[in-house]
Amino acid sequence: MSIAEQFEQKINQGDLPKPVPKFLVTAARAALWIFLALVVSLGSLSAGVAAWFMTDPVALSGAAAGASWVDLFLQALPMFWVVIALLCGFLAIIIFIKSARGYKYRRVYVVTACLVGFLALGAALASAGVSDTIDKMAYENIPQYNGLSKPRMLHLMKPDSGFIIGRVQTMDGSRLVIRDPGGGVWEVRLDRETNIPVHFKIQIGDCVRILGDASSTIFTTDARDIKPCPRGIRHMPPQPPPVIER
Amino acid sequence: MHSGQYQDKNDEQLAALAINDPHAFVPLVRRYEARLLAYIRRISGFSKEDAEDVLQEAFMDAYRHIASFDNNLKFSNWIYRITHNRTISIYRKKRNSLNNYSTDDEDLGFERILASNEDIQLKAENTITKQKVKQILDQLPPRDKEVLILAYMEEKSYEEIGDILRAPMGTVATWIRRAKIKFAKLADKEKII
Repeated sequence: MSIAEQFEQKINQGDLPKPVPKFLVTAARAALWIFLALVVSLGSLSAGVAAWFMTDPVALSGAAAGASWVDLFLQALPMFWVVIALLCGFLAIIIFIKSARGYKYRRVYVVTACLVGFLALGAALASAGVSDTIDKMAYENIPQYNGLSKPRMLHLMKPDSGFIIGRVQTMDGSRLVIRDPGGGVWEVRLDRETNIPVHFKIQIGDCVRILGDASSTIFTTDARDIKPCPRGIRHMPPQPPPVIER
Repeated sequence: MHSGQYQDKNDEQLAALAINDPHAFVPLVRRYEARLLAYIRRISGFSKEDAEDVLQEAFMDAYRHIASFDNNLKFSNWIYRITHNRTISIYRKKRNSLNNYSTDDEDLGFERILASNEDIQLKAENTITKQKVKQILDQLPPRDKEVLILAYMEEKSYEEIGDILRAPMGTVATWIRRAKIKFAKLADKEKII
């Protein structure tokens, strides 16, 4: 008996299992494309935030004087967002290749298209100001994000080298009082020599980055340069004051 | 409805009808069973009985997933893909207990593989035996063997092979070119060409 005849016999005897319904196939395909769209969106946003951090002129400015370009690059490299973008990119490539017709395209083209797409979308989102909002939202909604940003922040908080960052508590014409991320309160003295960018109008609550005289013993410094905190740090929530043991 | 009423439909129309009427799938089984049986035996070396079992499972798979058949694809490529995957999966499980299959019905296929090597300046001699060609094919890595069989025995185009093996056309062309070179080297070593 041929296979066709055996097949027909099964139909007549009612032994043939029912095929997977069309709506399930359609739903599975739709779910796959929706998932791909979500992955691409998240990946683009992450790439956008990463690019936004890395193109921050403040992050690579001379405030970290003496650091090599490699150090400066690594300081500006937002590993969290880079890893998320890479993971999303990898996932998007896998999903696309596994889709019904994805195999028709060469892997190298798919990977290139993914990279270019992520960067282009990311750049568009960053230039639309979305990256700043996402960074702020991440601080507000992801508890671990604060911890992930700490290594970047620590690069900028070296009082014995004259680098301090903190949030402005009070201010007048000749001094600022700031609270650093560890909770320490610093008096920052200003004078005519203190260099502040023209466009930067310091306000209470702003995160500022000070380059001043080296200090490791008392919470006072004479500021030479004051800049806004770099991207990725400026939304860091204020820390509580340190507990003093008696 | 009886399967005989579907004879005038093409493959893709039958696949669409089979979602609601299993009888529409029977002409498809009838159209493809002989060549798929030969294909299974060529790539795996299964006995006729084993190959029939594999094919039956492949047709059942195809029927169960008939709703996922993409009408932009040729049905023949789709059913070849399912059969290929099912064969490879079973082949991996039982490759140690394979029988040698007869090559009597495959003269043309083997000749086509030999003829394909003219472009690398190798000429087939009349004394060559089909069994020797099969021996060489068996020495090739599975992917090389599959693409040569699909291209020269099943006479599939690069695009069709791409659809069956889920690979881009350019990649298929590279695989075939490499497989032909490996085949020629082995044939030269065996002194059959």
